[in-house]
This record gives sequence, C-alpha cells and structure tokens, in this order.
Amino acid sequence: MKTLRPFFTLILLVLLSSQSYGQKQVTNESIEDNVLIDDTEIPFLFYGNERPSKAAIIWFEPHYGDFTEQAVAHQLASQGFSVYQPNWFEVFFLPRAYSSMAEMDGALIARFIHWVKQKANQPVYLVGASRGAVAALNGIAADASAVAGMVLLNPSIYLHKPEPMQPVRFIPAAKRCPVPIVILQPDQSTRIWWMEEVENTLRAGGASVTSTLIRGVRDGFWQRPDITPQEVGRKSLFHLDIMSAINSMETLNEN
Amino acid sequence: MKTKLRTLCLLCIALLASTGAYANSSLYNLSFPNVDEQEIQLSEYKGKVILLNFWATWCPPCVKEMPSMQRLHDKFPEKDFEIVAISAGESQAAVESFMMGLDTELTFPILLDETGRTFKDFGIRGLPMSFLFDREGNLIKTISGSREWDEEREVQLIESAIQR
Repeated sequence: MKTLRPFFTLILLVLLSSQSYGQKQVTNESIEDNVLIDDTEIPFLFYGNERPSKAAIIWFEPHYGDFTEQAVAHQLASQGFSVYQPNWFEVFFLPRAYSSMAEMDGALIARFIHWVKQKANQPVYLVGASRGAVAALNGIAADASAVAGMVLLNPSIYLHKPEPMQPVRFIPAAKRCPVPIVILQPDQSTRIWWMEEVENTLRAGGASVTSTLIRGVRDGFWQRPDITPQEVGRKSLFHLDIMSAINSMETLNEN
Repeated sequence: MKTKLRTLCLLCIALLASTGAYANSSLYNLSFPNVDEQEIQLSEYKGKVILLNFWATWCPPCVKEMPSMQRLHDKFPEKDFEIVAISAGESQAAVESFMMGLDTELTFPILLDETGRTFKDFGIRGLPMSFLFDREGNLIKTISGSREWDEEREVQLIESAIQR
C-alpha cells in the first residue's frame, strides 16, 4: 500500500493543478435539442454553461465535413457564451454541397435568430464559417433586428463557385447586411488576395467591416482532418480570437 | 451614326482584348525570381507549350501533384514543353526549405510571387490552379484543382497542345 502513495500523490497533484490559476473547465458534451418554428423543426446542438450567459452565439457551419460538435464552441461555452449550432442542411433537406447554402430560406433563419434572442435574453452574435456565412447573411438580409454582430471565418460568399479569369458574383444578401462584421482570415489562403473585394461588398449594406489575419494556419484549421502541429496550437486559442471579435463589436454597438 | 459604330467597334475590340488577358505578350512580360533569387522572364520559354502552375507549400493537393508534374515534365523534349510552377505568396526561405524536404527532385523552374501580384490578374481564388499556354503564349486551358499529371488524359492534353 505504501508503494502506492507516490501514485496517489501524483493523481492529487494533477487534479489540483487543473483547477489552478482560475482555469475554466471545457464542457465536454453538447446537448441535442430542437425547436418548432412555423411548423418546421430546427434541430441544433447547444453548448451551455451553468453561469449566466454573456451573449448567445449561433454557429453556422460550412458545407464540408459532417454535422459534429465543434471544439471551439465548447471553448466559447466554457467562457460564458451559450452557443447554438443548428443543422440547416437537415432543416432545408439540402445536400452538404457548395451551392446549398444560397438556397437556405433567410426568413426561417431570421425567425430562429429571434427565438435564440428571446430565449437567451442576451445579444446574439452569428459566427459564419466558410460557406456558413451565406446562410447567416441570408438570415440577416431577411431581418437583422435581433443580430448584434457577425464573425465570419474565412468567408466564402459567392453565388457560384468562382472560376479563374471569370468575374465573380456575390450572393445578393452580402450587400444587404447592416450589422457590424469582423472577418477572421487565416493567412495561408488565396482568400487573402481578395479580402478587399469581400469587405467592400459587405460594406454595401451599411455594415462596418474589419478583418484580422490569423498567421500560420489554413482555412478551416479548427476542424481540418489534416491539421498541422502549428494549427493544433492555434486551434486551442481560436475561441479567444472569436471573443476578441465579439468584444470589438460590443464596443462598436455601445458607441 | 458612323461615330457610334466606330465607338461600338472599339469597345468590342477592347472587350475582346481584355478577355484574352495573358495572351501572347502579356504572358511573356511576366518575370519572377526563382529560389536562387535570379529573375526569370517567361519570355525565355517563347516557342514552347507552357504549363503555368500556381501552388503553395501549405496546400496539400498542390504538394501531392508535384511528383506527377515532374514525371509529365520528363515525358516531353525540353524544346517543346516547360512547366513553370509559381509559389503563391510565400517567402524564398519557406519554398527553398520545402523543396529540400521533397522526395522528388523538381527540375522544372519554381518561381516566387511573394506578393501575390499575379493572383488578381489570373483570377485565382483557389489552389492548385494551372494554365496551359500554346507555343505562341495563348491561353488554351485553365485547370482548377490537382491532377495526376502523368495520366493518359493529361499527357494527351500536352501532346495535342504541342502538335497544334
């Protein structure tokens, strides 16, 4: 039994160290839930926290990958945000394809945003990842009144997949956004060459748009299956980038 | 009426010319440094079919297609065909260190567009992206995404461009 003492001491130390420096524990599980809006069932994942929420975030996932839990959403929940991740592909019976996002009905998305706003009784921020930005913009174009701001992660807001040497067309909703936008753009991406074009398009609807480059990572690094060691490190801090973006929009809204 | 027609004709000519950006002289006016920091003019490859490939070390499909690109390069005489791979927005050091770590030795020119100045001209919004030019420097095909470049379909594409 005596030989086991160092082992127990080690376990105790590990347990104590994980609580030190006021670190918040990341919640490990999201809750599957759904809401009926206008006879349409909207399934979503909810990442909550026992403490009162700072703000609500609606996570608009990209068209690639599966509908799975997002580590960054857990991190945001651990920092006091309530995060909702609706499965829009299931809602609209659309395949997970590039073109699907533009077909998503903005009116229903807007009504879901209102429902979240009412439920959370807090400001609502949208996070649009890649093509997820299209669904978020469709919702805002239908009704922006419940949205405090939007964070776009390497947004792709074209109407069709762009072809080289051909002019691009943006989704109509891109020019009808009046809420503040912060773009978080990984620098290992061809999108960095087109940032100005995207920013100016989004400004057409009255949105204030600012962009931040995230160094040394690729588009969608927070959910890539081929993640690099550098991206693993950046991913663990990604929620801080999103929080900083939300914080800057909060300040903007207060002014 | 004559003036209106002339304006219309001029407009059409201007439009046609603009859609053929990087036809003939435009392609040959381009120059980029290579990894040894020597400036390379694309006019050096005048008279050859050119496969202009845009890539980046951080782009997995770009890296994957490199060995097959080398095999394609080896299939054709130097006088007929050249591959020019332009690294997108990366430093000389990053590209050089990447090349040193490759299993395949690349014998075609690797050039650097550190500022990404050609991206807007070519309308590149994704990588890898390749452009095939004929012996006169006219664009004959754009190829989005990666390929196994030594497969029959791609080899035939180059053969037909050489024989044009």
